[in-house]
Amino acid sequence: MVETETQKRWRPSRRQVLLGGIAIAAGVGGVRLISESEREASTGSPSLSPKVVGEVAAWPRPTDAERARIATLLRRTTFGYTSAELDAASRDGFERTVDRLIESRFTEPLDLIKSEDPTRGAQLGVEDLQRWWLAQMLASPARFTERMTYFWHGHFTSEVDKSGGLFMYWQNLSWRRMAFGKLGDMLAAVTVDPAMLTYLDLATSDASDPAQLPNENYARELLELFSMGPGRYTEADVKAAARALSGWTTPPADSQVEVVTDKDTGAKEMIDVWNRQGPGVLDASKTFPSNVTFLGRSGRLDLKAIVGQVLSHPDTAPFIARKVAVHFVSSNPAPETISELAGAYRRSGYDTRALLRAAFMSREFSAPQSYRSLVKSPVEFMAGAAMAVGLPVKDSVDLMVGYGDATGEVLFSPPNVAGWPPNRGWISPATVLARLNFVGQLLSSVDPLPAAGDATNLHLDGVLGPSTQRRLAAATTEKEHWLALLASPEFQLK
Amino acid sequence: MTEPNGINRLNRRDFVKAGLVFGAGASALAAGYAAVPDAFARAIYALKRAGGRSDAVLVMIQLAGGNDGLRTVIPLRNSVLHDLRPQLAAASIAKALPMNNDFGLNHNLPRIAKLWDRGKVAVVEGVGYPQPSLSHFESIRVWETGDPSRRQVNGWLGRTISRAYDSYGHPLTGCGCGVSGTPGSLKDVNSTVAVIESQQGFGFVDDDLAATVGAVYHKTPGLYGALFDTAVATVHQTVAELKRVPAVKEGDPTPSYSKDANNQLAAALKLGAQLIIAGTGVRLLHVTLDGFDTHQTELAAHDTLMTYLDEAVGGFYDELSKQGRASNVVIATWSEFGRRPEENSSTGTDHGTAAPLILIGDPVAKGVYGQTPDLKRLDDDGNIKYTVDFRSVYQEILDTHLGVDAKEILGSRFDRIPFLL
Repeated sequence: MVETETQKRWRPSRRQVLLGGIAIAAGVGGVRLISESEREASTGSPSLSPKVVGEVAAWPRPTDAERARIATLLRRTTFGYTSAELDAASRDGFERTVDRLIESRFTEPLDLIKSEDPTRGAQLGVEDLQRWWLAQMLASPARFTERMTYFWHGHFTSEVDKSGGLFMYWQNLSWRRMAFGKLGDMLAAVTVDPAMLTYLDLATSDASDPAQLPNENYARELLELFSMGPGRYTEADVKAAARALSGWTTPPADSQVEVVTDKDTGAKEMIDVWNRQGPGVLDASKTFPSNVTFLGRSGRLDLKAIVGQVLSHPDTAPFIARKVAVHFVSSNPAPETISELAGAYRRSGYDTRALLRAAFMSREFSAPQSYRSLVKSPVEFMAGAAMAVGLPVKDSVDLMVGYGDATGEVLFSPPNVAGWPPNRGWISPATVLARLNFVGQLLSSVDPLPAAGDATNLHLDGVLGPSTQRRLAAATTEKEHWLALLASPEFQLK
Repeated sequence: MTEPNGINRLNRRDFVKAGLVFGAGASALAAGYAAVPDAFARAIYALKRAGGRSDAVLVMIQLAGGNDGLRTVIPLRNSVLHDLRPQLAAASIAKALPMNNDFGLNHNLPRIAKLWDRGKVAVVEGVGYPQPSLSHFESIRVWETGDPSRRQVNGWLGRTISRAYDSYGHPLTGCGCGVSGTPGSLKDVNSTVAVIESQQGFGFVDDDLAATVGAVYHKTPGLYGALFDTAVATVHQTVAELKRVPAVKEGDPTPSYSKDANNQLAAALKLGAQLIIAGTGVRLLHVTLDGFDTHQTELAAHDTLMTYLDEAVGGFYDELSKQGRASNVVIATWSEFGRRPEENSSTGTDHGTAAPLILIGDPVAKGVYGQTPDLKRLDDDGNIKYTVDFRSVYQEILDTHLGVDAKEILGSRFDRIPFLL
């Protein structure tokens, strides 16, 4: 094979040679993608040596592998970090940092609807919600709590157009409070969550007449998307759960208030007002009047019994463990990693903290193949970039809201009930263009820009592909430097 | 990685024929849909300028969420339908726009009904696949890949591009319009595909950014390297192509075919029409109308969606026709499944199976094809048993319209349904 352009053109800088941070191996021809099977096979390899997998150039080995491992942890568990935070985490070491993240204290966010106007809640729009939450993500000291709230937002997902702003706000508060909770509690909560009751129609289902079909929408997704994955249950199980859960409906409003809905015509409308957040309620007149058989258990099964059956299903722990791994460990986690995580999860009674700890402490998390194996979501990418150049929170929020649609991630408005597909799902010509344009606009919004200085080490562990390396070396202004850094493929990954 | 139907082996052989040793094979497949490196791509794409109607255009419209076929092409004389869905059937049947003695179109489809009268519409009844999945996401994957065994990872249109078109440097050969993500049907490791959410937003915000990005996304290492590099190269090429396309006029009150700004299908098809008329070389377009998962209060929601579909398709056809560009364009709808014949307690319908597909365009041979669904003999879950494999529809589009050997794309031969002239 002939020497590629990469090897011909790219010569390591003197500094990199000195630091030993090189791993574009000589004599490797062509470029190819790393196969998933190869990755699986090599996962857990103890070797941290510079490596080119197959014919794809792997990322060069970080000079300070331990610091890069900790930086990777921060990139995956926060929406951005400072130099001081990385230093502190490095002093603590990886394991203590994991502990600190997982035990991170809960902070109740600002009250979004605290207002004299009782109809404020009913009038919350999607941008109100986005601004409130993005500000929280950027400013909250409990970064990992926000990051986990965000994870559950994509897992137990609902949509603002159908569920309404107030119920979506409540749902967000719930996932934050339960961010590190137990799966059983979450499954019970999501079933009677007003936004979910509305989004997946359980609130409208009536099973009182056994001759009529119940609404299956929620029951199916409870099994397929929220707990065990497709094909792990029968259609009869779907129908049984749909019947057993029928009757749960949204909480009644505390009062109704007349408001002017059109200033020009003076048109008025009665608006429901809730004084405080509350779960759904059971309407006994819509419940199923006889026994069902669900996942092998027969009887008059209630919510608790349904959740219990879901938790006792052997595929539930691996399904959630895989999802967590795909978001925090590697885009195609090895079967051994999944079973290890699932084991820890099950043994702990489905405790999220135990699952996360197992994920971060897994061999695969720290394996060289997992380095930059995840793609930042648009929110992670944009928040990280805005924080890196010190754009004030309010301005960051404005800019991020404007790029939600084009980057493929409108918070509170998932593409469908499966949430947002991670990693490769974020990459298309249109979405990559939008991410890059965000960077362009970001850099013209900050004046003066901070000194780029050590940013390559702070954000990219000093690990650069040949083209980014060249462009950075050629940068003569701070703006050019930041542009090459934040618009690079390296910064898209975590 | 398995190679279920020989398609990927064929790709491999092409590379070998081209005198190239292409190492990616299965690994590139597993990676999803990244593109091959430039040098390989140039050589290989030069090989395939295979036949077909060179300017034939296909527009696939995804009715996402599972469209209720029984409320789209409505059986007019089926007493069982009334029993199964008393609330949903009555109004629909009474108002239907008759196609023939047995079927009527949903009353919100007047423009499509007119096209039917003019001989430009075909309906294929009972389309589905064996052992149907009632999961949105599994069934979408089956339709997108054209593989009910769920082993194939590339999209059927993506494979078509990589087999039969020269997409290198011509990113608009396959294009997702009005969406931000790459449509699954168009994904393939060996094809370059454009995705344009809206023409207005498609360009770099400044020249420094364009120049930096052009330099940086090159030979990117790692798992996603080729995917990122291809996406950025496609952006650059698409920006250049879009310069041919006249922008929607400033202050134009009807930039799409619908006055309803929520009709995103109309905006997407308007963009598609502009790409066709401007001669950008667009061949395989994919657009999506979402919201068909009508588990509750279906009537109002489905009426609106049918109106959106009708406005968008009507506007699109008329514009192409006016510009003399309609003769080689076929529009086809698809949806992951139909809905259950029996209505539920929320005046909606749950996930179903087989459903009719609608094909529209000058090359279409008018008629209702396939077999009328038998509502007396439903499957164990109360769903319609399919009578036409969806790949029969793909096959006819490939063979007759695009001039691409369908067996190479689909792996086998299926019953022929001659809905094209």
